Amino acid sequence: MAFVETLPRGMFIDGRDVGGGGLTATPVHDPATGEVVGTALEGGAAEIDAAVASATAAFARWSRMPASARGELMHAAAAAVLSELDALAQLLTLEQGKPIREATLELQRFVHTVDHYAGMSKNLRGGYVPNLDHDAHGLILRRPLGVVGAIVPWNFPTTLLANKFGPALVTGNTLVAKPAETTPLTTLRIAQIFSTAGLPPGVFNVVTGLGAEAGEALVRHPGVAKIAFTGSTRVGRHVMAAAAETTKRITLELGGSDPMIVCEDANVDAAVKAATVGRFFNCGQACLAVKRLFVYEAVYDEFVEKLLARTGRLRIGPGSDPATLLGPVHSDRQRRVVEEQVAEALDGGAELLHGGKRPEGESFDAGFFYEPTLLLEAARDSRVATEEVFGPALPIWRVGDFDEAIDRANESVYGLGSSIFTRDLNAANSAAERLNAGYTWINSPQRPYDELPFGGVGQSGFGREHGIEALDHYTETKSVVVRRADVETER
Amino acid sequence: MAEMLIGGEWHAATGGKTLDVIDPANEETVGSVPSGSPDDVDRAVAAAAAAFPGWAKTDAEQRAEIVRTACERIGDASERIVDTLVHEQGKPTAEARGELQHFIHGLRYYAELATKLQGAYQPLPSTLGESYGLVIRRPVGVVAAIVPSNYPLTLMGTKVGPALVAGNTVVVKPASTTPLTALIVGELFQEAGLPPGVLNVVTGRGAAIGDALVGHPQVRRVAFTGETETGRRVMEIAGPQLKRATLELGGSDPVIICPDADLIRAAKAVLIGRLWNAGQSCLAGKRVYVFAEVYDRVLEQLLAQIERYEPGEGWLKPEKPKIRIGPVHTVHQRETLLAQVEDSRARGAEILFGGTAPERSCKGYFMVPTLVAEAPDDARVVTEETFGPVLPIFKVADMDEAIARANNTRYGLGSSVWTHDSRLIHRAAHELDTGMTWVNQIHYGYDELPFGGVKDSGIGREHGSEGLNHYTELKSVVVGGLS
Repeated sequence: MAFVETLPRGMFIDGRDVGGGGLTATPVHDPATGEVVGTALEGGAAEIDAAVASATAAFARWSRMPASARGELMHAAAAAVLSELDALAQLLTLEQGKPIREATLELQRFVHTVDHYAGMSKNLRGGYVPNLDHDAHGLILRRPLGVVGAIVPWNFPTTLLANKFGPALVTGNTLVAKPAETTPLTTLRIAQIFSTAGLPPGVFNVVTGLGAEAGEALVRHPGVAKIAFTGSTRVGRHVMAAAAETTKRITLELGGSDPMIVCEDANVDAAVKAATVGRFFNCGQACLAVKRLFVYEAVYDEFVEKLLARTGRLRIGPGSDPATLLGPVHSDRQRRVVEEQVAEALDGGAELLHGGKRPEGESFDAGFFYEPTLLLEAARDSRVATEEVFGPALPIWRVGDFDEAIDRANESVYGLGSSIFTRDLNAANSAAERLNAGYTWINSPQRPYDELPFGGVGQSGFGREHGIEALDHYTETKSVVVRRADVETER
Repeated sequence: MAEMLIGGEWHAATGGKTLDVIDPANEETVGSVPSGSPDDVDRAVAAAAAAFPGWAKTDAEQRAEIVRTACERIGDASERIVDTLVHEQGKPTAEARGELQHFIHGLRYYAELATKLQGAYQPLPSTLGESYGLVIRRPVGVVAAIVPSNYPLTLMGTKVGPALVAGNTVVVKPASTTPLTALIVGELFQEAGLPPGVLNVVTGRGAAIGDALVGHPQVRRVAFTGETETGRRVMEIAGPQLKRATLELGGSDPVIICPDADLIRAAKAVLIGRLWNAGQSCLAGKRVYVFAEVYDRVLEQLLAQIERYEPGEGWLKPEKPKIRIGPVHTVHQRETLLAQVEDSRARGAEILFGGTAPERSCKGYFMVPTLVAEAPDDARVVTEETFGPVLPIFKVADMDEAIARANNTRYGLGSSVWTHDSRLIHRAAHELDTGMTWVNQIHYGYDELPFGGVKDSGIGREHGSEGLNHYTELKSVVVGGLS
């Protein structure tokens, strides 16, 4: 494939491509075919050191530049990505597996987020406290943290990077990003595009490699002020404990098992659509996704029938085919986990309504495909109820009333998203207050907005991305007390 | 013997063990408290968890009213509290009164903010149909408040105040050497009408119950003030459970005195700040960088002032113009300080004053205020926090050198600059890597301004409305289906 010849090789440090003499090159696979489509170098402590040194040097200039100038450079970088959107979407589909339509959407979201934060550059504010004391006033400055380490997973390689890149850069920080070892290519290409668009060397560096090596070195590096991590809860716990060594700031966006409640007065068609999109988008590999459905008895039969019909229409195929609605799972390993979770639910008495197996046919054999799967009444202690299901399988339960729905929804250790479909104002408000989650959608598909803070409670993480609130996680307040001349000191 | 407060009731430790509280001024026993175990922690957390739903639903106005009533009770009991604080902590009576006033001021500050907690309304794009967003703030749940021995009242207030008004319930663990004032405060909160279990106080050794409290699965938020090394340990335990944590840790605040400063006032403020609470404050000028052209004059002022400080029992008033300085809190702490001073002497620094325990007493952990000149940058008084009455002073050539050396520390809590030159003020505010900078003023933690460190001085902020934010969790709500 001629296209493959143009793929980035190496890492992006200090404004240029860096080949890694002597480093192992890991193959990057196309999840739809299993074919090797590129390689990524396995960076380690030395490469992280070099990237942090470059980011540290760049920080001195970047943090002092007029904020509006940073915003302009970020807008220019976003525009450059937009102008290469089609090629980037192809590359993203190739390494990640998602349908080309979803890859295009993802890159549009990436640009939107970078622009969103670039647009805040002229509105960064601090505080002023008048008459704090006799002849003294207080100021509340917001200072950037320094070098930020961004650890990004493979499910949304670009948007989950933008959530960190945008607020970090607009507030004056510099970044060292470590993409997942299975999806480094789009990120590296974006780094090249950003650099050509005028982003100064060292402001955005990309080091590829394994979590246990490059990731670990980044988390433990004394020159890194903050780690912004998106990934599994298990690794997130480790990041938080390891970051303690150097008292780093952290945000953790981890797993979820979002409940959706469909009440008796719900608009069933809208709910069915939200459930299908919410569960099967990105082949179910989203932290924010409908992962447990609780449906009121009164609308259960109608809901399940319509959900089955809609699920049956999801066309499975390689992401590169424009007609595909459901691509492959990202890796064989990931598919095995989902298969085990589904098998355990069925052993425990769940009813299989749809899917539950790999699609048949020669065109599917080499890829990591799995049919969209609907499970009814899995046991409350089954893995699909208690664990995060990171793939296209959706368990559905009947509930008797509002209290039962909320209690079941809150049974999870996770607390990321949640949604409810009802026309009853009281039920909607009560759900917003009682669902233990960082987000509640009411009569709306689960979609994260740049305008609203996003993040979890419980085991779903720590801190917020998106919204103006994200800026708080990339700045440190400094209080300043200014006492004017000729005033008696205390005592 | 005092008992601990769990679920609105007073309890001895499971197993009945007790812990004596020692007066650092005369080494006599002031009282004793239960020496708690992990079982006691379990009971306290269970009580706090049971009280949480009801307290979270109580009107903010009602929560604030209870805190205000508690403040009145605390004010009424001020003599008892001040006396206890002087004996268990060691500080002079005047400073204990000051601490009590600051404690009440902080609690009232948050009581007043209780009804001002706001969310946000956010218009949203109509991509998925007409909808709007809300940002709401929910309480976090059960909070563990771990309080050190230097300011048992105020450092409890900075946690309990915002936690309670935001609808959380709290388990306080006071320092094992200063539990008595915390128990009195707990009692007065109960009397003020705080429902059982909303505020619990568990006493005991950190080694015995600290891990159990921080690691308890039902504790969702840890507010810790203490040493940096213990703070790391807290984060290492809280991390794997993804608990929210704020850490207010050590500091080694630099002070920069520029040539145009009011030198008399600067020297006086530096000494008050350094010797307040016998030097045991996280916020205090702990390294003084003086421009060469005024160095001798600042030194002269410091020497004239430092002589006035007289180590002695906190409850005894000194004769004018002497100023009372109490004992260091523990004998171990004094040993560390003497070793830090000895280390600088060995490395070539000049000890201009003090550097020893006073000759007068055989009892009590007193130390003579100490002035150390020109310790090298690798001396312990530079690289470590000096948690006692030791002040190192250094000569610098210009602002570049002053800022570079001020920032040459793993800590980043406070800092100050003495000058009226706006360019130098601006540089200090923006270039000193700390969470606070004072200009022409003593390092004082205002309730109105966010307080907290960068680097090894900690994570998160206390004080100000920013402090309150650490006791709530944001939730975004999208209301769709409108068209």
